[in-house]
Amino acid sequence: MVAISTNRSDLRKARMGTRGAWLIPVALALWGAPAAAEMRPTLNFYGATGLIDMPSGEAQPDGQLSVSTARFGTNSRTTLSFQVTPRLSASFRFASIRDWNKNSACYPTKTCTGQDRFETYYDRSFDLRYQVFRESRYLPSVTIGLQDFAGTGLLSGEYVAATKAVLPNLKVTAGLGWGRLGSYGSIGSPFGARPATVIGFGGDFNAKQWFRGPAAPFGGIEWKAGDAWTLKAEYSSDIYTEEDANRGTFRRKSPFNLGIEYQASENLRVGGYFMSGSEVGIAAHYVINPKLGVARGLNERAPNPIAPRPSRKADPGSWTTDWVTQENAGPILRDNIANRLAADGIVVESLGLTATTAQIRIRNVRYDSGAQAIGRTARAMSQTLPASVEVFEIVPVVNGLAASKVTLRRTDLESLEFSPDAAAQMRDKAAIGDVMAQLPGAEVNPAVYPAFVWSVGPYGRFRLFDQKEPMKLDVGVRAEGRYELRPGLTIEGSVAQKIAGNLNKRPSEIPERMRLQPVRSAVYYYDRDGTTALEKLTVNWNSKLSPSIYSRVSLGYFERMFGGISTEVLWKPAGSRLAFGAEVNYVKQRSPDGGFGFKLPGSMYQTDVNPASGPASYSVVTGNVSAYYELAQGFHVQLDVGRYLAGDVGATLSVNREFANGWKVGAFATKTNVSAKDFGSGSFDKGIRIEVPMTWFGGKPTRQTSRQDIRPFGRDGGARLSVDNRLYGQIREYQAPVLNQQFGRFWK
Amino acid sequence: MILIPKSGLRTSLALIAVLSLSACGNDPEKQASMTSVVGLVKSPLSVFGAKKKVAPQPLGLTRDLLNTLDTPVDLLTVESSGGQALIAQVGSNQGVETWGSADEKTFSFRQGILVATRGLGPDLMSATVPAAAQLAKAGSSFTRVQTYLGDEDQPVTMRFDCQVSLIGRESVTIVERNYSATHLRETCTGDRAQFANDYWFQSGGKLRQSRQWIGKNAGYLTIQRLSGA
Repeated sequence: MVAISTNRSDLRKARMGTRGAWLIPVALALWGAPAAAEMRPTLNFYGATGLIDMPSGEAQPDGQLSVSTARFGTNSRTTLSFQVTPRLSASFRFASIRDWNKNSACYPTKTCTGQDRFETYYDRSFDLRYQVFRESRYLPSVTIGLQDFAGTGLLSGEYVAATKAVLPNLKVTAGLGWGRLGSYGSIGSPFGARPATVIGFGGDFNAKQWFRGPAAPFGGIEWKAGDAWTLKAEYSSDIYTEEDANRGTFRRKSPFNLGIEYQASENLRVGGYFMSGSEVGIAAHYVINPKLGVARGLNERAPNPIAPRPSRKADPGSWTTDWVTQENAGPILRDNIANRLAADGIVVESLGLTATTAQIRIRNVRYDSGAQAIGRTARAMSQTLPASVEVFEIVPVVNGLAASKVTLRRTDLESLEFSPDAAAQMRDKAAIGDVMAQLPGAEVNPAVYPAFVWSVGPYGRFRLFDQKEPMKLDVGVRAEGRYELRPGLTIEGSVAQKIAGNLNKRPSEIPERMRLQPVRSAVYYYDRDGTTALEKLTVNWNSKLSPSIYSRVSLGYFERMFGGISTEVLWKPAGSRLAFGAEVNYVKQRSPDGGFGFKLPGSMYQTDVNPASGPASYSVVTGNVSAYYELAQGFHVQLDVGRYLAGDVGATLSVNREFANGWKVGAFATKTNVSAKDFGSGSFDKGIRIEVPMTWFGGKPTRQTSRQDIRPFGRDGGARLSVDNRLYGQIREYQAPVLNQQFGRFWK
Repeated sequence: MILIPKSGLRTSLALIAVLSLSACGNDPEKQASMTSVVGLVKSPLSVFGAKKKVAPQPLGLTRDLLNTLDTPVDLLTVESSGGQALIAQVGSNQGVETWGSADEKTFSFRQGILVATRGLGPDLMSATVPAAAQLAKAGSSFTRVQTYLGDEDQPVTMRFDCQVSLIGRESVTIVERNYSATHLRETCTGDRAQFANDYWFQSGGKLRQSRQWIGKNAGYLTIQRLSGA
């Protein structure tokens, strides 16, 4: 006979007869010192792998993200680079050139127009590089690169560069450049003349120019003089035609650049340079690699060990199933598990039981890894459930949606806990599938619903590359609240009060919007007028229509600029890499003052060209169908086709690389039936997206992430409604493709 | 915000971290990240590579104090930090005993030989280890396989060839008490690392003290058995 009893002992209590404060923590300082490596590939003034101003044939370690800032003379560049695959890398750059109109008649006092109207010229550019050959014993690494391949063309250049380490501490680079990299010491135009740049609205590919026009050789050496010091010398094939000859921003006197670089830490590298025979230069590069495991640095509590059952032979009494008939057995067992899991930040929503199977529904509020939360739940079940329960069904629930069912056999948990390849074996034996039905007794834990969750704290709102300003920022206080009435039904809201910032500063230009409603470009008025703003207030209802079909209905104020009704369905079997979804929204544009109203003042239509006038209200039916696919190695693509906020019709393609530790780095582009002219600067909507898991900062497990979309041009075409809790993002982290990727943390 | 050139990336990253969390409230998801930023400042595990060692506090153990305990305890020292803790048994499964410390780290042993750690960060996830009898015998050789979580949290397996050699008879002092023991050393070499573990066996084969390697990032720990003769 097994009597079910309340059992609160946890790891801490079970530990020992704790008698005093002399049991001090182990205080482990375990972050390993990096081993001094061979010569690492370094970055140049463009934030690309290279020498000083010239590129090299090398590539950075897979997954590396870097931020570089470099300046010399009147030139300044800040670049974000990402090693997308071991051979492919991409960069996004914000460059500025001071004294841009120095040679103009209008300089320095009269009003300048056209290209001359900028005192400092700002430019955004994208690069792509592909390493065609890796360095071998006798042959160099070779990289082909496109610099500024889609911008206004100011920095455009293409190259082939080869690099070979000739000694353990000496590397030699030689290459051939086109465009601005072929502007000095040309050997002719092997692939024909270079067509003139058509700047237009920028942002389109300049494919016809690639590798055309004069080509010029460049080269250099890199000598590692000590553990942290590197000397560089290069011969540059860039004569700085526009900056020097045309605009006189600085004098380039020599093709030779010299530099000394210091590796200040594993992540930070700084350098000082003598450039072009005339200018001093400085550069700093900060690199991080999201590929490095977070779990390695995670300072967390250990999991409870598995509690093996006595053998049936040794203790037949403990294997009986009488307990099923005991009154309250279910709630007692549920609370026993919940008590153990509370320390792990796992909430038990319900527990259903038969004599041999238990199905637990959990909500993971702490671990950034679903696999880790599932592993800890399994351990707690092994410590609390009667011996006759052999099958554990663990169902992670997100906002009321049961995302999958992970079925484990208790015998496997017991036998694999200390097995050499426990993670792989456990994954083999676990089944991940869809779920709908619950087991008997699985009523909702009364301790969990209803619940009111709130928080008050600081916020920051950024706008990057707002024309001349690389960054604008508001800071303030935000209060958020969420009332959870029952699984899947919530009321959520947030109110923000700005304290300080410069987002209310009028952009230097508010260009003509042509025929589009200012669904995004009017954001300045929302920043200016909505200092106290109701950001969101929504009622959300999530539910499942079938084991693999999910649905969402949201009603209210979704974001600062729109409110209305949003509906969505998603088909996503737990084991599938593929998903399809559809979304239909009817929304109205909100007043810029951050209140409840939908009346649009005429003043928000004001541009540099037009007086303030426009419709007093704006509503639109917007929506899309979406296909999602998880490729191998953490690459993830999404295609959305539909109608956007300004009523334009088109498609968005997003590609992300997602790391097991939660980092996401990606790019997106939207092309709609808005012409490049109507769209304005940038021609069509595109940008990059970076999501950083907060766990990464402090080594404590948390599910918080910080996401930033960087758009070089924020315009009205291709704009999508911002609504919280889209279905796909909620459930997929608990489904097979993602869980498989992180299963190493099941036993952590 | 990762593009702020002037104030330095680290400050900027910390700034986002601070801005993305809430200072107060009852939302458990947000509170976790609060401690995460406090951890950024305090934690010796900081990803930004704080290199200062925390000076270990002496535990001030005496026999009188140990005699008041009602469970057997071991004294565990982590070499890299000098941190010390008492550990007591919290579980047992298939011949592996799991011992835990008050700050919620666990260490699992098969016949006194470390097979897993948890809660340390760069944990030893699992290990196939020799039997204590093999370690007590000079001249024996065997293979060890140890598993860690590497890049992208993927399991990484390291293989080692190991040999046992005799160092000699030594007297070991543990909290006011002397033990006579045989000191043996297990020397292991693998592709990417090598290490040497030391074991002090009492006559009768009881492992009184040992110094064992956790892994490349965690280094060594010393375990001293405080209970029994």
